[in-house]
Parts: sequence; C-alpha cells; structure tokens
Amino acid sequence: MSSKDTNIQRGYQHTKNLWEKTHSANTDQCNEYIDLSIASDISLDPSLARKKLDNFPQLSEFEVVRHYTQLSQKNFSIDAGMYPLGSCTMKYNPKINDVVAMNHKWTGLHPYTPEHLSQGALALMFELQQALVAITRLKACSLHPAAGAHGELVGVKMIRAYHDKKGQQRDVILVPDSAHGTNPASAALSGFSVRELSSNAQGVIDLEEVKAKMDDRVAGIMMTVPNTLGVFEKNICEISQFVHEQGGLVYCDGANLNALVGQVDFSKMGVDVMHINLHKTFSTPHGGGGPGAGPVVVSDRLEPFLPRPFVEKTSEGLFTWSEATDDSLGRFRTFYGNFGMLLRALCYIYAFGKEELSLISEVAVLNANYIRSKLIDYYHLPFESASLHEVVFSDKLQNKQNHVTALDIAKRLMDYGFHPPTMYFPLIVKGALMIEPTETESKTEIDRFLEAMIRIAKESQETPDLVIKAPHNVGYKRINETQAARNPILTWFDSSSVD
Amino acid sequence: MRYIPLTLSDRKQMLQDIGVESTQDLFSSIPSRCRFEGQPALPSKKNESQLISYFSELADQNQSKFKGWSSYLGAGAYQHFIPSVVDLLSSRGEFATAYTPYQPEISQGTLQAIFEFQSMIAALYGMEVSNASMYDGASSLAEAVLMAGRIRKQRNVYISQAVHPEYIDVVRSYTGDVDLELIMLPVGNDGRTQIENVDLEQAAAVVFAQPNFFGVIEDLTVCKKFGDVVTIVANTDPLAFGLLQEPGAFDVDIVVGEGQSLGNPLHFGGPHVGLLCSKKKYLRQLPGRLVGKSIDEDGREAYVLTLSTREQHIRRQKATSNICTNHSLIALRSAIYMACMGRNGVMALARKNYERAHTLCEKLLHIPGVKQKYASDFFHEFVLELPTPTSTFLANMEKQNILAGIDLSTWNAQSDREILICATEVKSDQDLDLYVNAFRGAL
Repeated sequence: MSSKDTNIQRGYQHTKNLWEKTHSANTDQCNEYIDLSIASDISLDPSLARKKLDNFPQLSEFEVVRHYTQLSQKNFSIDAGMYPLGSCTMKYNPKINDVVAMNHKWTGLHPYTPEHLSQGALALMFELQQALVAITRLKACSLHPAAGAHGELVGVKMIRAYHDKKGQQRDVILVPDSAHGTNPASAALSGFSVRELSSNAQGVIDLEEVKAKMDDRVAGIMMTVPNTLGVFEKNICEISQFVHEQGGLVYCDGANLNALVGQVDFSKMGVDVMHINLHKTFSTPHGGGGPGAGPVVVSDRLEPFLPRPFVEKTSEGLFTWSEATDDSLGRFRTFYGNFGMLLRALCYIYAFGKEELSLISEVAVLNANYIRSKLIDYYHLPFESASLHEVVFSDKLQNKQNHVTALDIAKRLMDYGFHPPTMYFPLIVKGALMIEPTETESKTEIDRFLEAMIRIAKESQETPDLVIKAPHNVGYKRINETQAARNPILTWFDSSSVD
Repeated sequence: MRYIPLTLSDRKQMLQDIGVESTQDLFSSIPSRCRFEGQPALPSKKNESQLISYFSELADQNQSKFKGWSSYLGAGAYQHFIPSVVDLLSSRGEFATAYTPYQPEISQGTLQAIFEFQSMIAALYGMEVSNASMYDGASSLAEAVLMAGRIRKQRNVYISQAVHPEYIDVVRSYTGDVDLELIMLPVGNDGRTQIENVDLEQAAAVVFAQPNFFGVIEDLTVCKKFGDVVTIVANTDPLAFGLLQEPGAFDVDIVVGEGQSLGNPLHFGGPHVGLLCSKKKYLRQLPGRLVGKSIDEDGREAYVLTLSTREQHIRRQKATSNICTNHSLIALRSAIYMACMGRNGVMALARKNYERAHTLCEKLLHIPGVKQKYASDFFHEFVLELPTPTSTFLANMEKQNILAGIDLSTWNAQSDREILICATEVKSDQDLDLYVNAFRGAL
C-alpha cells in the first residue's frame, strides 16, 4: 500500500478521470453498438477532413459503467437524504414520472413530425397549458421556456413588447432587494435598467416604497411571492393595483409557488405574468443543475405577446400549433419546450388531481413552520413575519459567540448526512440559512434534521472547532474555491493560465 | 397521497407543537381578497396504475418508429442509436435528483462528470474551453452573439442565411433590445455562405453553421480572414467533427452547438443541450456555469463551480447572462455517450453517417426529375429538388408510413419543391432501398 492509501476515509475514493483510464493498449478498441462498417471508402475532400481527434478518451463499456457508478456515489441527492435547500424546492421526484417520460413512443418522436401524426404530444402539451392556467387562474400559458430564468426573460420581454405596442418609452423595472439574482439579470438582458426596492422591517415591500420609486419610466415590477424570506408579500394586491394605475405591469417570480398551490388566485393578486419552475413545484428532477422547465402564464393583457408556437384545440377537437402573430415575441429556443420535463410535471399534477393538489402547499407550509418552531430557540430569526414554505434563520448567535458562520454550520450538516440549506441568501439577511423542507419529507426525517441542527448549535458553543473545520467524514475536506478561480483549469488538458 | 409521508397523527402533533389549530391558520398572512376559491379545474387524482394507462394511451396517438414508421427527419434534431448504458447510468437518482453542485464536498460526482464533459466537448470542437451547458443550440448561439457584442464593441452581426432558421429567430429575440443589428449573408448555388458583404470595420461578429442548415459543409478557412471580428460557428450535430475538420483548426473564436446527438433522445424537441466553447482569453465573457479543478484542504484533487463572479447570483444585473439552471443532466448523458463511443467510435460513427447519407442521395439522384440543390459536399443531410411539390410528395410518403424529410417551404415559400433529407447510422441498406422505392412511387 502506498502512503496515500492510508488516507482513505469513509466515502473517499479517488476516481481517476476518463483520460487517466484511457490506456494506449486499448486505443484500437471500438465499442460496437450498431453496425459502423462501410462498404467502400468515403469521398470526402481531404482538405475538409479532420486530421485526428486528440484529447478524447477510449474505454471499454464496463470501465465506463464503473466510472459513472463511482462518480454517482460521490453525490448527495434527494433520493439519498433530506435536501432542505431554500428556494430550490428539493422534493421527491416520483419514479413513475421518469417511467412515463422515457416511454419510447415519446422519446422517439421527432419535433418536426407533422401535427396530425403527433396528436398525443400536442394533447399532452395542451393539457399542461390548461392545468397551469387552472392552478394560477391566469389567462394563457406558453410552455416554451427551458428554465426559470428563461421564463423570466420571456416574461420581461413581453412586458417590453406591451409597452412598445402602446408607444410608451418605459425602460425601468422595479426589483426588491430580496429578489433572486436572475430577476435583475433578466431585466438587464431585456434592455431595462433596474431600480431596487428596499424591504421593510418585516421583510416585505411597502406600498409607500413602490410609490416612491414609481414614475412614468417604470415598465413594471418583479415580485417574488412569497418572497425569498418565505414571507407573503401582504401588500401585493395594493401594489399591483397601484402599478396598474400607473400604467405598469406586474411580474410574479413563481419560484416559490410551492407555498401557494391551490391557496392563491394569481389573477386576483393582479399578476400579469409569472413563470413556474416545473422542476421545483411540480417535481421534475433537478438533474444536478437542470434541465428544468419554466413555462409562463399570463393575464389577458399579455396574452397576444406569448412566444409561439403553443398548442390550440380546434372546434373539431384536434390539436394544432398556433399561428405566428405580429405581436408574438416569437422564439427563444428551438422547437416547443422541454417536452420530457412537461410530461413529468403533468404526471405529478394528475397524481394529486383537483381533490388533493392544495395538499402540496399545505404540507410544505406545515413542515416549514414545524422546523421554525423547533429551531427558534437555537438560531436567530431575523424576520419574525409568518413563514410559509421556508424559513430563514441566520448565524448571528453562533457567529457572535465563537465566530461560527453559516458556511461552517452548512458544512457540519453534511457530516450528519444532510444537504445544507441555502446559505447567504437572501442578501438582506447577514449569514442567512434558508431552510425549505417541502411536502415530501417524513416527520421522522425532519426530526432527525432538527436534532442535527440543535446539536450543531450546541457544538458551536462547546466545541466550535468541530464546526469550523467541518466537514470531517464526507470524503473531502473543504475545497479551495479561490485557487480554482485564480488559476482556472477547465479541461483535463488545460494547463495554461489566463489574465 | 402516496408522495406525502405525514400521517394524520403526525400532522396533529406538529400543529400542536407550532401552536395553531389547523394548517389553514398558517396561511393567515395571505389577504382573503386573493385566496383561491374552490378546486382547480383539473381531472380527478390518479393512482400509478391509472397514470400509466392514461399516458400510454396519449403516447399511442403519435406515429413513431415504434409503430412501423420510419423517419428521415433531421434539421437540428437527429436520430442516432443510444447505448443502454446512457439511459441507465444517467437515471441513477444520485445524478438525477441532485441540485446544482453548490456544495462541492458532496457533489464531486456531478462536478467531475461535468468537468469531463467540458473537456470532451472542447476536444471535439478543437477549442480551449467549454462551459457546463446551456439550454439548447439556439439559445447558446444567441448568448454567443451577445458575448461577441461585449468582446468587440461594434454594431453589426453578420449571420449566414444557412444557419438553422429557428436559431436565427432566437438570436433575433435575444438581441432585440440591445444595440446589435443582424445582417443576413446569402447562400450561393454551391450551398455555402457568401461573405462579400461583410464590412470588417463595423462588424462585431460573423456567424456560420457547420455543417449548415442544408447539410452542406462550409469552407471555414474564410474564418481566418476576419481579423478582430469575432467568428462564431454554430453546429447542430457535434458528431460531424468525428469526420470534419474541427472549428478550432480555423482559429474560430466561439463555437456553439446542439448536443442532442450525443446520446439524447429526440423527445419531441427537448430537453436537449446547448454547447458553448470559446478561446480561453474570452473566459470572463462566457455565460453559464463552469467547473474548474482544485484541491481540498488535504490536497485531494477536487472540482468546484468557478468564476461565478460572471454570474447572476453574484453580479445580478451586471452578469454575463441571466442563466442559472442549465441542462446538466443532458450534459452528463452526453458525457456518458462520448465515453462509451470513445475516440474511435466517434470517428467511425461520423464516417458511417456520411456514408449513409451519400449512399441514399446517390440512389435518389437516379430517379428522373430529382436533382441535388447544392453543389458542395454535405455531411448526413442534403437538399433535393423534386419534380412535384414537396407537400404532395410528403403526403404520399406518409401513406407508406415514411416521414420522408422536411419541406423547406416551411421557412421559405419559394422552396416549395425542396426537401431536406437526413440518413444516419440507424438506417440499414434494406431501409434505404425501401425508402428509394417508396420515393419513386410518391413523386
């Protein structure tokens, strides 16, 4: 055994990369999946042909299987344990959704299959459009966007198109200081400048704050409801009414819809456009960073501007692609949407049905409030307003006492077998720890999580080093992020530096 | 409800501990004027057995190759064989049900896999760096054009008319509110982009597709003529570069691609995966996530998300893009696919694709009245001119359970006798003969 082997801890196993596993001895190997032989040589002009394919691995199939199986074992996942990552809605991703979505009759369908031969796919998309309209009570839906931020971009562009059509020069969007970073980024990408709204002492936006920042350059307001503190924006109806009176529109960031399914009527809230993260509220897997899906639902004000195409039903009961119109935004991607994700989301919605859909938010909110009630004696709660589906604590107590930070608490949670909460967000809370349990955790698992959090609070007092130096038993110590950014190495064959 | 583990007694206990009577009390912060009244207009709940029946009945309303149909459709979404390994490994819950790897100590699986993905994509395109993925090829191209505008502060973006029309639409949508003007470059009789109109002074970027929308292989040596103008190559099938000279060899600045062909199903158009590579000197202008190599405190090799100061969660409105969630799992699938195929597999596969399409094209050109539209060589799809309107021809082919190709009048009314046909490695000699016979009868 080399001296290195004595360092092996639970969970740690160095996985050589694919190139380190590529041996010169097997470079003439070729895994046969389908006949690749050709009868005669091809006629391509040598000047157009590639000379050689360097830096590409070559392994046998079983080596590939081992490689990725070993890598998978180095991942924490919701399948393996509680993942209370605030604002990300890490809930159970039912296996049936994957089975339904990976049916070969869907996966083999080419997007340019004529509509009369793809009626099943169009029907499915139509049903999901209808379902999202039914759940929000807005007017119309496009399934086009690939993710939440993509939906935001589409939504903000619709707001711009609405004002352009009216011949109004409005180039400012109001965004609360508690918003996700994607909100201002999406607004900027649409050519808007961002005017920030300050949250009040209860963590919400006052009507007076909106009045103070509103003028005739403001195209609209982007509100996250409930906001990133998990607190309902209690002035939202008045704010919407005021913004509308001033000629602006209301964008609702639907990232936190898990708190409100079957609880809030978004048309009554005055929403003109919202995106829905199907990978949050409707359980499509996060995939280690996507793919998700971010459909947009709109009020009748914005309906004409929806991206095309979407599915319509004819009077004969057939499904058809909507025609392009002058007002439509057009396309933000190829084809029609992340179809495989749309299938999974509809499967989740139908599993609950009209009878039980509101259970999603009821239980998600119950779980979050239970966590709040149990941790409030151990962690600082920066805003005391009622929590919905998530609760935001801070590291204030631990930091003051022994300089234990939110990061340390997060890393220590890993040792107890939990994924950490979202850290340092929202930005309006110093040392934030944002906890979102969702509706799919059992009480037993939540209690185990609470016990871990309480133990960490005690450790922070009694043995702070244990927390500050965590993690201890997940296979890796803290990873040096500064070095990675200072000297970026982004491919295995990259050794050069960049200024 | 089977997805909700709480029992009634759990709930009762929890409510008691919280100190409220009912769960509805927890919603009292929501004003009554915007509460949801009644039930949503949805069907009744379905158990798993009912879900399976319901969705398979819907699926059966489609025509696909599993019902005796064959397809020669391409145009940005291609039918390739997918090894079983790809579906099974990528659907492991450890990969599929993880979030973005913000906590690297417990996300090394995703991080290493994406680092390897970046490496393989960069190698395939012959580029220095690749990001961790985008939504699809079209949105990647739009982001690349915006990136070019940041690199070279000029107004004009010259874009080949032989770029996929939907990609052009997406670029238009993304750039509508910034100070960039799109100028189309025409396509010559040889099927290649003509560059005479490019005004180098005012140009921010020039965009080509390789192979282009008509399947034609462009001569990318022209990319070397553009000096400081940012050259962008868009690609809808990365497997082409198992055979064709890689864009990096022509000193191209940015390469974008659609990675669907790398082990990902057609799935009626998504989710697919966007690829985005550039020279390393443009690193800080790249949109999207990047995985970099580092070490942990004990010196173990490890990977992290890096250079996030470009991104929206740090920079907010000053970020290089608003992208957050990308298409990581499809990137992982692509990595597994590339690892399975290996260098030799990718090269053999590309040759086979070229050979299949050329074999088919040659057979079809023996049919009287059928002509090849463009003179230049192509990869795995090609445009034919038919003696009859394409729409009539396609309807006749459908009667024989064949999706024969794509009617180019979809995008250009004057092309009503043109068809784009794709043949990949999945077509056997017998398939091609059946197709040719049907073709003859359908004209």
